[in-house]
Amino acid sequence: MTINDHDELAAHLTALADAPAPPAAFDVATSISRGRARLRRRRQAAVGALAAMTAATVTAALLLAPGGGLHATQLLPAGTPRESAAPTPGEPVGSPTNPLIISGRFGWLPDWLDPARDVGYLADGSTVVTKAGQGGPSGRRLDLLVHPAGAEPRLTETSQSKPEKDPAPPVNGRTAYWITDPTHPTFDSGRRILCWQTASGRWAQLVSNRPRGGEVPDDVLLRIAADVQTGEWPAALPFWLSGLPEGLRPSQADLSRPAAGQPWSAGAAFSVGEMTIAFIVAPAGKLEFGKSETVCREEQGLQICATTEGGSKPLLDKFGGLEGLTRMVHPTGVDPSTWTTDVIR
Amino acid sequence: MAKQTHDAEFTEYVASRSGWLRKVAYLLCGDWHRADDLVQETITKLYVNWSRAKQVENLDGYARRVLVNVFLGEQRTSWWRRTVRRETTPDAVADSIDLDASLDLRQALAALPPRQRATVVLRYYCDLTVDQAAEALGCSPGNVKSQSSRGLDALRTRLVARPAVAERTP
Repeated sequence: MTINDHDELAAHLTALADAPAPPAAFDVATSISRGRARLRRRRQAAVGALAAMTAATVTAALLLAPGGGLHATQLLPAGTPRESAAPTPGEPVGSPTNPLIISGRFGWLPDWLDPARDVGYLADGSTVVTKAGQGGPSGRRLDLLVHPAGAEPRLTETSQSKPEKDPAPPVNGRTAYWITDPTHPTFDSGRRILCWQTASGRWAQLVSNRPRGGEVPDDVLLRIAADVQTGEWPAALPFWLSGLPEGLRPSQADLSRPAAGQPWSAGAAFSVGEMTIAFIVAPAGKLEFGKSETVCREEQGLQICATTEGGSKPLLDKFGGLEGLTRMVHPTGVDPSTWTTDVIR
Repeated sequence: MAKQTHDAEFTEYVASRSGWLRKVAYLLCGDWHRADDLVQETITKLYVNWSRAKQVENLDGYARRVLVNVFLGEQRTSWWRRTVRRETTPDAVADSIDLDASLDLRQALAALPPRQRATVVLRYYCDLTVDQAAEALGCSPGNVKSQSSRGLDALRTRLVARPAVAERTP
């Protein structure tokens, strides 16, 4: 194929978009349900903001003080529809000193995954996911989710999906099953999900992407599952933060290690009212941001960026602006051996 | 009653335009399942802002801008909300049925940085002017021009330099 002029490119793009496609897997009912939940939360946040003006200091102290606040590993049961849950303020992630507390670690991994280079973590809301092979050229990717101690997570039916349990060989002698959905047009072709009870009693889920021709065999998934460790470990990150303004609650954190030579990055987001502030650290020159409201600086071969969403300028100015926020980020170095688990100081 | 009308209008719009949005999403991300995730999130955002959105002069342009922002937002930040959603409906990367030529272009597009890819899609698939693309991307027209130019150069280079594929697919 060649592209000699713009019309030719337009024709090729049209042909690509018009190529045969699998059945659509989104639906308007889901969006309406989720949209209503977001609107409810927004309304509640607006009401809550008034009360928060008087209680902000106390609340912040409770959430950020050692031992205070909720914990990220208090996960929702699997299949609990987040959007239909009663609207609640976002739970802070992590611990008072580290926004990224890992709940599951891989042990054995197949040789196409490097345990040091290809495994990352993501804490978002009440969920912490351990990710391997993210964004690799093969499309193969593994995500591990460890649920909190308690009852077996339940499966939830939606208008799009009616998941079922399909018995799997026991993992370390404990109950295991595949989650399948024979009624869904693409569910089973796109993924393989193993759910099992770990030695700690906590339930875990291993999700394997299944690109055509690159499926991870079931016996490999079972071997990976058998070597998974559960617990709570603070992730080592390439930066630490100091002087964070009162009232900021850690809402998201991640250590992204994409496969295929893409640069790693680490980040933490904090919420205050309707505003989210995010700090992102990555090897210098490797990040590209799409928003104008991002400020970066470089130190120790790392790029340190601060960005924000949903905030007002006066509130941001109160925090020293984005420039001031980047100065709260202290990089430790490019070498992972220098990274720290004592992130919030 | 007002709520029913609100939802009916929204549903009607989505029913008529979701196919088009899905195609744009597919060209942006190169994967039908991920495109579905992008569209799901886009129409959710559209619903949340429907009262305002339905009054804008160019509703398709508004929806397209939301879609591009959702796509770029995924690229921009490493915390990816669909990871959370995977608990119930995990995403998937199952390949669609590809024609060889389409596969060439899809791979060439995938090699572009996200904003270049978005610029190419907006300019040459959605047929937007430089100014319209700049508005959709939230950047300057000059930036669109430079991104388009680099994107086209990269596509041409990749698509010309593919003898291995040509040999593989007689």
